[in-house]
Amino acid sequence: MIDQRQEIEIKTHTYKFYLLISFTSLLFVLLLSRLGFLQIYQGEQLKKLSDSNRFKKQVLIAPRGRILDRKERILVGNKKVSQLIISMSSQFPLDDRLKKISDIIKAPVQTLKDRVEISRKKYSPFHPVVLMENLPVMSAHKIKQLRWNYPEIQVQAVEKRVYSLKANGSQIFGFIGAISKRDIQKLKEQNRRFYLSDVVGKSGLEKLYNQELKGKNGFSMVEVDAQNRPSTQSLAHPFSSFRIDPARGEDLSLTLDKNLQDFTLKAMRRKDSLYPRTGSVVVMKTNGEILALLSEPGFDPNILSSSIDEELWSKWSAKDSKIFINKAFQENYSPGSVFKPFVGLAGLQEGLITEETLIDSQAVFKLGNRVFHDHNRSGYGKIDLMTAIERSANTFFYQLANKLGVDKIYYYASLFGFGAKTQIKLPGEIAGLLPSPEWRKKYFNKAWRKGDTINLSIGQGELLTTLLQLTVAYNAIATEGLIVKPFLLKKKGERTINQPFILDSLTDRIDRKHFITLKKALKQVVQGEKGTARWYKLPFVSFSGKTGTAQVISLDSKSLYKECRQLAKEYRHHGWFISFAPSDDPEIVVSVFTEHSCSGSKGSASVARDIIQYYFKNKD
Amino acid sequence: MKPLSVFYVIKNANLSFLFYILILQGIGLISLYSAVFGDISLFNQQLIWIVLSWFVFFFVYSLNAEIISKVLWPLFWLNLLALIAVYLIGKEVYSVKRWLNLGFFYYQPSETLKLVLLLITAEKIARRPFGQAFNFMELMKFMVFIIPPVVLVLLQPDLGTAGIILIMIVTLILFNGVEGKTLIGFFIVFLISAPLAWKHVLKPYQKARVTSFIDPLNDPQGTGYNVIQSKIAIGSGQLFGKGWKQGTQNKLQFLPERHTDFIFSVLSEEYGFMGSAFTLLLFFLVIFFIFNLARQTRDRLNCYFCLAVGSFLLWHVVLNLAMTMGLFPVVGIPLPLLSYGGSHTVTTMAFLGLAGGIYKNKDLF
Repeated sequence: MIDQRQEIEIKTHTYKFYLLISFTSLLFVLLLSRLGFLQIYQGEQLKKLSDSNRFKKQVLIAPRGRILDRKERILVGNKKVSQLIISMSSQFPLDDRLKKISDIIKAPVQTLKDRVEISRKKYSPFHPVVLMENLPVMSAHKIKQLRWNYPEIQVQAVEKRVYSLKANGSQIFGFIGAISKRDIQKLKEQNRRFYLSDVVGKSGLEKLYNQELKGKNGFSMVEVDAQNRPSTQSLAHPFSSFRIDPARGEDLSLTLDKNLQDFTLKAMRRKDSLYPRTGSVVVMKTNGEILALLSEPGFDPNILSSSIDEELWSKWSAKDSKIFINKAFQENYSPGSVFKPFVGLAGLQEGLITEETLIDSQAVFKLGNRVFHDHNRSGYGKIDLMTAIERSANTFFYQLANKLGVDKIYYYASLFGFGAKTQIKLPGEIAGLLPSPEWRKKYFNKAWRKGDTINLSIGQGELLTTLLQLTVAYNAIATEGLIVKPFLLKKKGERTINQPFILDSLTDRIDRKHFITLKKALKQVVQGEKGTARWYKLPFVSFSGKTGTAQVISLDSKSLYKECRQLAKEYRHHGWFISFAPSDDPEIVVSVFTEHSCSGSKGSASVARDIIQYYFKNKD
Repeated sequence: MKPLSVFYVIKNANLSFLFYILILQGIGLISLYSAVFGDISLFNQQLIWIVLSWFVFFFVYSLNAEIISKVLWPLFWLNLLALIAVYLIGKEVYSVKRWLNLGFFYYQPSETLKLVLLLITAEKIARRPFGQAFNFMELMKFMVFIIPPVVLVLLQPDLGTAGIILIMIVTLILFNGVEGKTLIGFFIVFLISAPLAWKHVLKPYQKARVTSFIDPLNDPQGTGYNVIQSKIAIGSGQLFGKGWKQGTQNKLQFLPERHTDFIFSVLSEEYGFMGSAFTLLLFFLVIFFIFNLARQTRDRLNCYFCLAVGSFLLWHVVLNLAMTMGLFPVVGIPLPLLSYGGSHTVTTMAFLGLAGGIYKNKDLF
């Protein structure tokens, strides 16, 4: 039986329940709408997010193009090595990981820590650190087993750059390195695509032809789990097999001859009283093809492309080391006597002298109250141009120059390319300096004096030349008037890039017969009885050349006669020898510059002789 | 009391109610199997717990409300003791102490506390005359037995469990009715104390959970990670899901706490909107059944016991799902019948057994 009180109770009760159930329904409707919002409205977008969670784009780095010599022998190639890499993150204790690694690869923890530190300084703190190059197979296997627990430790197969000639030619090839902050800025300015994992050329040909050499990276999509490990149970998805293969970079074929290039260094390292020589060598075919180009000492790019220890680096980067500079065209020096033939040529062409003209050449030449000395303290007597060049008689050229005047010398010298770049396609070439009265006035506001012309005639004073310039100038004598553009790159991939190119032919301004006269004179330097390089004759090939010594500091007359070898090393003269062979039908020009060797003959001609000998013995 | 027999159960229980429970547990096991993949032992353990929980279900089912109300206080003291033991010698996982090692399993007293406290509250309310709203003093008396265990839970620290216990109890109290001025008073106290609690009581990681709830993208790899990954998992399931064991968020371990608090995300990812809406519907039906049962009972004790069961299910389901869908901060609230966990499974089934028992007896009163 239900009384009134119970009736009210039930009514209120029922009302409360309706409220409760309405409230419950409301909450569930809310949940359902949220579910619909996420799964239907946002479903597409969240599906993409879930895919981007699990698919990581992995860059497949394109193998870098090789650098080959004229016979397709590898100068710079690649080798597959295993690299031990640790990804950097603050989410794990680094020391613990390094300890684990050091146990396996048997390297002290401190070494590994140093590597991490160096890398952190060089790149961003989260750049992966290469802990070891060239990981042995057994260690690589053990490291790979660590992967499941320590996904940050990785073994990566990479192509390592191998410079087969090591330090030889290093300034030409340059080196590569990980992309730096500066590179990134540059690439961005050029609107180029790049990856942080990219390797770029840092100098030399590696830098100049980076675009061609680097190829095109590919990529693949890899499914990974939350810890960035590749998933073991691949879930079906079209992306799982998505892959674009990398396109290998183009090979560069050079005009260099690997064996000859190798030999130039051996020749520079000939074991005599001047060992070890430093300086530069250029071997060029008469059409402008560079067969060898050496600047010694160089650096070993193999060391640079991995990781270099700080001690070696500070040695390399010391101001006076100059190992990164190609002394053949990035540095200039006084040419000394190797400049004389061009003064002689000017005299011939201007009709001031002929082949037979004799000039009385004493030990000194007086001009006003100035006295100009010869290295020969007894003088030569009356001699012709041939003898003057053979014996390198200063006083002959003093007198000739005095008659010619600076403007004529300037004119003829500039025809041969002095004071201008040879236009070789390599970075950093300098033009040297061919002084003129106008130049002197403009930069120093000082008048040109007659004495300056005298100095210029024997390649001293303000005149500065590069070895490559002299090579081109002597090549013009050898070829009787052709100014060629030296070149190093023959082919990019299969495309021929450079062909012999003649910049100028001087025969319309200089009579051919004068070239022939000069060639006779230059032959005498080596082949003549009193030639300054007479000790270096070769039995089976006759070659011509000119020696030169360049004073490093201007010396007074007293110290000029002082034995050069008694001076402190940094004050000793540089030695030049510019030659071509065979004398009568030249094929190659061989130029040698040796620093502080005191003599162009013993210092440089001996080296050139060895190279010419090697070239003709191994010619095929 | 009639003997417990299969025949008796089938005859008296509402079959659909049992059916819903079984289906939900089935969904839970299927999702769990997918979530634990490599580690089948977790799945087996849960299977054992589910079988055990059915024994608990039928045991409670066979009791009547009056008998239960008599053992509540002894159970309360036991539970309080267990909580103190947790505080002193509990097992620590991730610097949180929630479990007691009982040799054969790890017991989580805060789960059974939900049952005990909720039923004690229900019983206390039921014993009061009808239609009498609570005043301030009466509520204070409630505090005496509610506060100590809840503080112990807070010390574990387990903000989620402590919070949901209070919410469930408040639901029962509000259902009974509270005097207007007392309600306003409590509201004002809450407004004042909340900022103070924020400043002095909450631990940094708890605050981080709340701030990351407000702006999960603020720290996507840290506290917000769970919510973001859970939302991605649910949403990427789209309409029909990725299929059993094909959930990438799940399989590749982007989803945290897959087998416990975030089991619904696994389910949603693999079965899509269809699967998760179906699950939601089942939960609604079970809760509706219980609230409807509460309405139908003529006895106040049974009615409030039923309300306690409903309140338990309602808040656990709503807050857990809201949490996985990014509508509520990540606090450790399991999903009844689906989440992995022994103490929770048994507690849930004890609650449901109680409701079942009341249904069985509803026409007797």
